Amino acid sequence: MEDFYEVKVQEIKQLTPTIKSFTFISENTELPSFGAGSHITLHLPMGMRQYSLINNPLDMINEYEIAVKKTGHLESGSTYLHEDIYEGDVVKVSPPDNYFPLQMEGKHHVFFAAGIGITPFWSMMSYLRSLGESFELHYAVSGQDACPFYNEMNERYANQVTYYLMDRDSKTKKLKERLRELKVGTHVYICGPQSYMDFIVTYCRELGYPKKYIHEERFKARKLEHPTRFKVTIVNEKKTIQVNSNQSLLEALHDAGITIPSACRQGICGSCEVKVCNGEVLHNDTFLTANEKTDKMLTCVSRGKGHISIAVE
Amino acid sequence: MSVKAEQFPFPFTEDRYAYSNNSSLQKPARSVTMTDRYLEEIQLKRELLQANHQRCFRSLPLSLESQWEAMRRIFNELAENEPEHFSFEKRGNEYRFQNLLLGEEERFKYRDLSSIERQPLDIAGRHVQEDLIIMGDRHDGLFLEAGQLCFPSNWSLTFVLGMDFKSIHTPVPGITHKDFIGKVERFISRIRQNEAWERKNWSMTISNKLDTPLETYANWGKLRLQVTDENVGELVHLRVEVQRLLRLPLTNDILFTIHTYLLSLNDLIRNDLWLKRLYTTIQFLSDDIAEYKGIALYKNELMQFLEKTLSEKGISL
Amino acid sequence: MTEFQNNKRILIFSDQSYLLQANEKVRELTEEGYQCEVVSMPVSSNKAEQLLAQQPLGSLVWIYSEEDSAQAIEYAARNAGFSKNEIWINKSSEQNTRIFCSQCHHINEISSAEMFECERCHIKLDPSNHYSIYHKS
Repeated sequence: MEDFYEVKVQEIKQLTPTIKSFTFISENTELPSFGAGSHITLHLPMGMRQYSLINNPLDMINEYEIAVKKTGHLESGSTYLHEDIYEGDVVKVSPPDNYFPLQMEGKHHVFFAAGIGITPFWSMMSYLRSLGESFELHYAVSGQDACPFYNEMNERYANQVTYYLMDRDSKTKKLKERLRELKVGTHVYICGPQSYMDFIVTYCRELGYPKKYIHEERFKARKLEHPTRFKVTIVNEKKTIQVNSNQSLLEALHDAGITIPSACRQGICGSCEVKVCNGEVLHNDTFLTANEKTDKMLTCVSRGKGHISIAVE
Repeated sequence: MSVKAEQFPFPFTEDRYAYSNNSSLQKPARSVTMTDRYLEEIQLKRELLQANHQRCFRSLPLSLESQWEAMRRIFNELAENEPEHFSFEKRGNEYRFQNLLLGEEERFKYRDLSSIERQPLDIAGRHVQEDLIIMGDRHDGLFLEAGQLCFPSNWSLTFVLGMDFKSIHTPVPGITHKDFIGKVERFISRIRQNEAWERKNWSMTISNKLDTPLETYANWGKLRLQVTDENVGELVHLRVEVQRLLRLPLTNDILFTIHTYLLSLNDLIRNDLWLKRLYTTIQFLSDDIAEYKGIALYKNELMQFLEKTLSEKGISL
Repeated sequence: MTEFQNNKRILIFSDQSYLLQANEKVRELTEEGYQCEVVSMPVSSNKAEQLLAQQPLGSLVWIYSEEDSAQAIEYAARNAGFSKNEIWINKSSEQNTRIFCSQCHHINEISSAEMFECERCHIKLDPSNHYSIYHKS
């Protein structure tokens, strides 16, 4: 697997007045396969942007498909894709990653989508349909015109989809009614604007549904795009060192003759963990739990702000 | 079945033994490797599968999708990396894999059970030297859900089928210290799709026998009592498992492959650095680890042999 | 409106012989705010599956029974989608230890943890504490 691929825009479709789909292909390389719920990262002039893949992973031949809603901000990635990208253009893309996988041990999958948050579910539903698994979709959208795949959705998933086109209060009431009825073996998946996701997650918590059955799509930055230098005092070594913008804390420690165990250098294995005694830390790992992040950091990817102090074993 | 020294993945990078997550990212991501023992080991595997199928292949129904994915992935890798020996063609949903070394072919329709006579993992494993395990990544942890296991080092596939990751590892001494095994599980659950990580695991074994399952311990365990000062170099083998963990993208499960290599001490000591590192590692091994790795019974003979060889070669530590 | 938290619902399966114990437990749990439903065993597997599948997400299953029937209920609960830590089985103190034979995979029931001979393949076994939730041994 490469760090990125150059892919060609094969097809652009206008799905709604504000949503376009883009199909990317590679003519010379085999693109890595992906699982339902995955996203790709596009390298755009304004930075890295993540978009969920919408094609059925089982039908993929050598293409990635995304759907993008134009947000209106002049500098946004979506405006750029809508206005400056044409069929035949070449874009750089990082291979798919999946923060939002289906839990295949589930007996029934319930999707809650709002607006453009439908995208990961479009892929999941076609995958589950191929497997013959049971699912349903609850889709809050401002109107029929704003709904991408409206006709296809009704043809393919007439018995699975419930639309929420009504006013806010009735919508909330109807969502709550459905949420109260969930049975054992169900996995819940949520994707949409922050307030919508928070509403559903909070209500699930009130109902006492364990967290492990509730899955949210939350895109998070994988890498700091512009690391800056900072100072570190190693309390138990009585040393203070500087970490330059082009090196990691792990490397700086090593240069200073302080060796700590390390392995993956990607923030996923937890080997290079140190104790944080003081200061603000920018966490970039996917290993530590929120609780652990209060007094621990992984030196391979996370950085300090200004001046921090740590203790090593 | 010893391998040539050039192909032997010597495991010690330092002189001491310590638990660590010593995994490294594989680029490109590979789950299987061929060595010059291919034909012998495949033959042995097939014999074991024939004689003890229940012992060597087990699966839970939930693993089927991942088995299909693993089979396709493995055949693809073989054809890509060893095109002179294997080919893999796709026409629509129909696949044809050819193994030119064995003069065999496997045809199947993807995800169509009626097109195959065995379960997918049981087919794929017959073409590679690795043991193959599927670990399901579930909401409540990792579970062993399928395996084709012919060359285990003193464990039983039947026993661990359906078991969670932590329970599988309880016999390893000291593993719960600082929740080490919990961290390894968390690491595995963070492996990104299509990525493969590799680590090496080692132990000692008597004779060049690859198949040392728990089920036949009565036959091979007692060989440990036969080690003497005279035969130690010939009998004792360093056994290294190259273990790879690959995230299968479609199912989000983990394909865990184990390639086992054996090298007799007589072959190993030809390399001065290896000799030195093995000596220091064994010297500092704690008693419970020595016991777990099966060395305790002949540790004296082993140490004397290594010391004698070091002094004959004039190597100082 | 008061809504019952689903992780405070417990479906209890109990043998006649444990019924007293189970009911005692229900009293305690109810006081702690749990909502319990007791199903007395034996119960047909159809009926058990149906009951289990109807439980709200996040509820728990407790089983008061001897090993074999407890296992059948547990299996059905796992199939319905309960996680392993949502199922609790009453372990009575008199029960025998189940030892998995490493050679022939037969499960022996023995009363002590001393060395013994497997009743199927007659190999001498020295039990370890390596436990499989799958085999219950």
